[in-house]
Amino acid sequence: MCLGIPGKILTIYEDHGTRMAKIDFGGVSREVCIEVIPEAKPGDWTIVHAGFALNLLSEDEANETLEMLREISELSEMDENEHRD
Amino acid sequence: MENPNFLAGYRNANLVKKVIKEIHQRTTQPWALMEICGGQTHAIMQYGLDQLLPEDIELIHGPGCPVCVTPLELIDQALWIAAQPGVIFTSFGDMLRVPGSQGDLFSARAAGSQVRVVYSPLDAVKIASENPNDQVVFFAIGFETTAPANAMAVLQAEKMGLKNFSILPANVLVPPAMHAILSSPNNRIQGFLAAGHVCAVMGYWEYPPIAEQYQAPIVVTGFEPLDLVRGILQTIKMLEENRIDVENAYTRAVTYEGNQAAQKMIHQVFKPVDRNWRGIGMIPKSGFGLRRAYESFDASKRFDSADIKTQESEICIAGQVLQGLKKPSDCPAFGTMCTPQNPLGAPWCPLKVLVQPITDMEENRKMNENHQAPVNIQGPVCPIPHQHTESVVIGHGSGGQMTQDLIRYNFQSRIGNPYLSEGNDAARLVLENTDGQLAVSTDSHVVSPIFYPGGDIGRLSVCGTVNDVAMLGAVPSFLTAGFILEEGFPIEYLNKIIDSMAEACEEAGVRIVAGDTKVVEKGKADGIFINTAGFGLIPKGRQIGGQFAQPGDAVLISGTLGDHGIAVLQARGDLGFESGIKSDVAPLNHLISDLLDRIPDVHVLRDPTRGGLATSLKEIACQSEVSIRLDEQAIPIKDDVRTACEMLGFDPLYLANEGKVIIILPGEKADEALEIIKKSPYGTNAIRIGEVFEKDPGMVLLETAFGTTRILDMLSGEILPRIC
Repeated sequence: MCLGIPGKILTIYEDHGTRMAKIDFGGVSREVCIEVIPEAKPGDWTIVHAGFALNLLSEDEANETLEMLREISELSEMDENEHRD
Repeated sequence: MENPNFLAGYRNANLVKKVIKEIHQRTTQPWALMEICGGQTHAIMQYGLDQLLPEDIELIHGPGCPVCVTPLELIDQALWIAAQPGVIFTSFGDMLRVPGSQGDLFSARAAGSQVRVVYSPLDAVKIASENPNDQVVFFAIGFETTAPANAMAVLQAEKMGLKNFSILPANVLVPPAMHAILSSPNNRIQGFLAAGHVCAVMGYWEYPPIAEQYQAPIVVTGFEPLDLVRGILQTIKMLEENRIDVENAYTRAVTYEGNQAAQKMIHQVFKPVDRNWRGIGMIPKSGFGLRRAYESFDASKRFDSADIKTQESEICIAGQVLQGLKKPSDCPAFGTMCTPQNPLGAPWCPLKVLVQPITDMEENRKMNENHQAPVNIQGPVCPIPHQHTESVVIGHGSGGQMTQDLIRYNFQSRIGNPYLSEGNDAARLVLENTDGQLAVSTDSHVVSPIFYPGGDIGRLSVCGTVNDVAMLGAVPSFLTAGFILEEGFPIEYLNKIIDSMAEACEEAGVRIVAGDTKVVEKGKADGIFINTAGFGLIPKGRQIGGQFAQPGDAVLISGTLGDHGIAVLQARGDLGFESGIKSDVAPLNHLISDLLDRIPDVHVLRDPTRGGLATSLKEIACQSEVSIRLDEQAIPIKDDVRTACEMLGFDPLYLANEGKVIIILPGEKADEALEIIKKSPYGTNAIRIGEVFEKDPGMVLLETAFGTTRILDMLSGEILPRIC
């Protein structure tokens, strides 16, 4: 239901007391409200929906998940090879 | 920008295929899963992931599209409020074409209402502060994902002391919908993929009791292909192991508790209220209404619209369709009273048929048989555009299906002749007593803004017409230009535009040989409109046109797609994003004549302008009665254009180009043609993207990196930014 895309925080500023940021989405940047991620700092990654940052993104988790999926798929290939033998 | 595996890593086709293999190995019996979220359905269809799953796994597409489940009565209230004098009604783009009982927000705009598309609820607040004499209303739809942004808009308006801002609260909630689906006596769903972005905000602490109560495993799932197949794998594993639990397969964005600051903000502004869902009915405590402290921001109170109560259709079975209990074709109204153009229930319902046109042939056939005008929408379209027959709406100028229908039913039926019905961008005229033929084309230019990165209305008005003439293989020589100027238009701008036209003419080697100028009163035009017509001779023996594609032909494109569409949209400034993207507007006649000098037997040339590559190829496939298969991975799109499309929910294959040409020619000539085109400054990124086949005439099929196939149809209506 909800288009959300990752972006990297470039700069942080305030607008009428609300925390806003300029965020780079990969060659395209936009103003985003970061009021609900008070711990955010420039360089952090966040997931943005409708001009609003929902959460910080975890690089460690992103990499771990990929690593885990690679392991699963390697295991399943090994299984398959065993079956073939 | 370095990309630490947030997107690219999760689109790795190899890894997706391996996880799919694992799913096949684990599946030993039939399972019915529901992905509740419309965004996930969209991604599954876009990548064709359902085609890769074992037959035993049935994916039931849930009611998780906030646009589609917004009840009729709220849309009717929105239409009523938008029609009040002094109101600027703001909405996410995808809400604009969802029909109420009397038309949609597009028809409201056509009837004089001020309706504006915003990317963010906070943009609506900005509009309110810039227009203190107007009442600005935001249509606050969405699930929990959008709720914090909607709440923030209210808080921001309060902080700024804005008395002219209000929202029409329409937020809906996921857990009550899951209860409603699972508690149905006929429930078939055995496992859930929970919506990743809802959980990014709300966490998943609400789900263990649901999983326990209904004995259905739930997996929090993201939106990329690898996220989706991982979510499915984890659900299947639990089902096969007879294990009931809630697992998180989107750990990079979701924690158990969720974003507590966001939840606090939501609960400060909103309280749970009973809410009707379109086609489903009332679900207790399934929506958000404003708390008493913020009631003054409630547009339904400010405009007394709450009394507008519209009954949903009693015949409609959309609710049961959404729960996977019935098929759309089980409905007595299906294809007769309920059509994609005029859906009775959730617009999602016809979509469910249309996304599976190959597997659900029976339903398609029934729909075609029953409907007076043939339904020829293929592939996922959501929401499906409303049929407008009473007055012109902006979608009639989109260059897609609505434009085609306008031409077919309104123009061709009245002024049609064999020249027009060839259906090309230029006409081919036979001149008596000469060998050659004359190519003639005309094009009006109304682009807004008139100056944008990479071009302006002047350069566009020359290049657009030069290209249309060149697409018949003609050598463009002469243009005419008609100007409609609005009173007050700065002469400085006019001179700049004329200079730009002169420069483009010089580059293309054409001359403007006749012109016309009209001035209209202030408010009767938008600064400047330019019409140009172009003339050129087609050398003897050349037969180039959309009707000449042959099986065995190769499809080439002269460069990257979507640059013009995004550059213009960005320059408008409404959506508030910045990039270095420039329009590709350029005359292509030299590139084409270099090509035709060496390879005269080119079959089709077409510039994919409005409607983009997909619409142009669909037209060609229909004109030539062939099918076209494209390799998605070969299609060139710049990274920043792709990013902009992902932000706005656009498909780059439907965006306008003004300096690109599709070339269809015998397959064995493709390499030589590419070599020639690449020598032109406008063809350096030229590449072969597909092939022409005899089978399935009229179809354009996109082969994805995942080995799946997606049907590309014409652009259905105006391109709109989506949140869903």
